[in-house]
Amino acid sequence: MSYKHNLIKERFDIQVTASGGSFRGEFELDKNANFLLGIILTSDRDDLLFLRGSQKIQLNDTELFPEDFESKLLMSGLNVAPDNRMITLGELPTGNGKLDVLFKDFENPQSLFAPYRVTVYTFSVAELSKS
Amino acid sequence: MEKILIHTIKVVRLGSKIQLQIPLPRNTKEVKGLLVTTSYFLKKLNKQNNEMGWLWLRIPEQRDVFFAETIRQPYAGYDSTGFGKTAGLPSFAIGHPWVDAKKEEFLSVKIDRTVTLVEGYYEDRLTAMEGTQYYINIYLKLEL
Repeated sequence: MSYKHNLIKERFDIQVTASGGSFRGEFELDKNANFLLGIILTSDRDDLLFLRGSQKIQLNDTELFPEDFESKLLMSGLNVAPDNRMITLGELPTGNGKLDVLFKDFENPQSLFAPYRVTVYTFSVAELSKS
Repeated sequence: MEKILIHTIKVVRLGSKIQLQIPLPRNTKEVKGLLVTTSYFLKKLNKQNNEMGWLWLRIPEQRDVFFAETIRQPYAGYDSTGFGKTAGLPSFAIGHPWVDAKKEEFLSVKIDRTVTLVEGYYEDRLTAMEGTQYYINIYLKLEL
């Protein structure tokens, strides 16, 4: 079992600066991270991310979430226990650890644009436990 | 291997009826899940009639509707006012979206490998629209 203390927790930020734009983030996972267990999305403007955001997330050549996958499906509210907030991905070998995020902001007449930050948290482990 | 296929319907006119066809990749073994979301949030939610439209999906070879659903407006508190309240945490169990919302889950379906196309239509049932357009997203979870 993976406990919080042996998870490698990383944070990657993308700044969304223009309405209706696409923003690419290319990140590298920690070199000790060998298996990616999960991710979660947050923002400094949760309402904008929820209503306007979509993204493609790819680990090396493996597509984890396709283009136009809405951000709201990867967010978590306060009613979710902190221990359960990660979107689990199984135990994906990280390979060379290249994480690509292509974020798209969509016009939404019910949510006026303001610059916001999209944060991707990743959770990985160095080795899988035997149990 | 799982893959998510997303089909987006753009609705720009009240009362429009939009036909759709979703071709499945050739290497699809099975369609396992279905989820429908919308970008539309009405500021003043009418709890008696929060209907947005109707969605039908069927498999052409079988001429059988396997999914017929009334698409409803999501809870209005999801707008910026609703999220703004997180600055002062509201009480739980009062229906506030950020503390009481439910998990979005795929509806379990089983469409086997012989099917190459899912078709259907969406009919808008709104009586008034805030803004000029909205989207309906259909997510299909495929086993490849």
